[in-house]
Amino acid sequence: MTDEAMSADQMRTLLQAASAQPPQNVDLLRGVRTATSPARRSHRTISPALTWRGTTAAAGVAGAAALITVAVGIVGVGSAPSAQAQVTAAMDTTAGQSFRVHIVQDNGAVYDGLSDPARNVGMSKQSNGSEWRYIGGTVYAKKTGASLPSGKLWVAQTRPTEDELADVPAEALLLKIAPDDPKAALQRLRATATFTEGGNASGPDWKGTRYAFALAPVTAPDLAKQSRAESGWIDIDDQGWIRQVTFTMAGDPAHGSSALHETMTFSDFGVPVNVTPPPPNEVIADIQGATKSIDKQDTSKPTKKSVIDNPVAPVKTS
Amino acid sequence: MELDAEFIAFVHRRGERHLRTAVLLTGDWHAAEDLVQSALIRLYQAWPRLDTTDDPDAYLRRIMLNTRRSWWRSQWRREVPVDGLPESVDPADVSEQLVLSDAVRRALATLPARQRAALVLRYFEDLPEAEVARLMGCSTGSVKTHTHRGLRAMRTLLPDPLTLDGLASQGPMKGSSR
Repeated sequence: MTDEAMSADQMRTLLQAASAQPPQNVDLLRGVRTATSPARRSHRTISPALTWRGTTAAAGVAGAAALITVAVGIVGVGSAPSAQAQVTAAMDTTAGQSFRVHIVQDNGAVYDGLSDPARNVGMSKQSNGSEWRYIGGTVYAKKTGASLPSGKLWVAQTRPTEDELADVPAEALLLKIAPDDPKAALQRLRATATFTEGGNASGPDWKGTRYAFALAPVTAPDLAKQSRAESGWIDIDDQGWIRQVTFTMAGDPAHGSSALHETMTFSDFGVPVNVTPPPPNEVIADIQGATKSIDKQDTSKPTKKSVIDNPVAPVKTS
Repeated sequence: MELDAEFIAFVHRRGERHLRTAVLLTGDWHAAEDLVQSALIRLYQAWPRLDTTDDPDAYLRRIMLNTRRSWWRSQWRREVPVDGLPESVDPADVSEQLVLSDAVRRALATLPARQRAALVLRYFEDLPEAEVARLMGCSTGSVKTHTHRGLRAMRTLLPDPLTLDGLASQGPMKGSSR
């Protein structure tokens, strides 16, 4: 054992040696041939990869949800990568890196944010001056026009758990959660939407593929009135990054609402994300719409309705 | 459906090199084959849109890294770092080079993913630090840190019988041609 580092030349020699004898008869084009065969392209059912590795890979994963992710993730290895699999892989890739996100809603709201899902930190600023910072399970929100006690600028809230978000309509999450938690919005979209390939897409410095999606309406009685089947598309570049998500929620004239259009644009993958909490003396904790000092926090659990109305929940006492 | 002739030629010309990169990233040849095949599917989808200024090697390399990261994030082929090296193949049964190859890949597999990627891109692909940084989405300073720590860890991880004094005098080993 030694603390001395290996030399670069020694490392080069070892890496050459470690990769020097590839197995015989490897057909690297097999996957491409399979993916482009007419029979495979018409078969869109997602199934686990048929390679002998599939069972080993699946055995190491706990939980049905994880198993679904595995099946979708490896479908491209031995069979045609479905649109669903392509989008899933891109969401995993994007959520594994930090990025900049720009969100525009046609009601005038514009958000600019930075997010590092792997470290669970991020921030977002709205054009009207509102700001959100999230660090771990806490969101600090500074809302323009909010009525807060003198000297207080920020409201600390806990972010909802996956269980708490489970039955919330996806479009509500896309609209409410996306600005301060784009990863959660993408996860919800992946879990809810059906994707189909929709042609080429491109941007200022990328080329890729467009996938259309449709969201099924939620059937839960207490939520159905807030949920409508909606649609949009997602652009994925040739490197596997999600570049843009465009989403339209149709209007509901019976309830006096008009259509809402939202575009999320992702860029600067790998950008450093440094987020610090606000000064403690400027922060209060939010309790079900009311507020009180951060040292008197509540443990109540938010309802599904409160999550929709307010995408972040009250801070819980540790 | 006929595959594009230029694409086939590219895979025949460069496929083995990328397979070798993949085995250093994944640790075993089966996973490496899966990784390259998955990346080639994506590359083929992009192939008609590539122009003469695009470098397909660079494209494929980036797709492989992203795919590898995606697999890791979704916990497929999850790797668990261990304190020591697992039992290797019996040196009495195989050639000295196979023992060495196996030991090096196992040592690489114990490194954090980003250290491993930095070592492979820097010292196997021989990419400049700036290019490694671009591929990994980090600063050149981070690349320097990852490679330095990786080199130090590799010195520590490799077992005593595989001291490098003799290796250095042998010069770089050549990959087998198929």
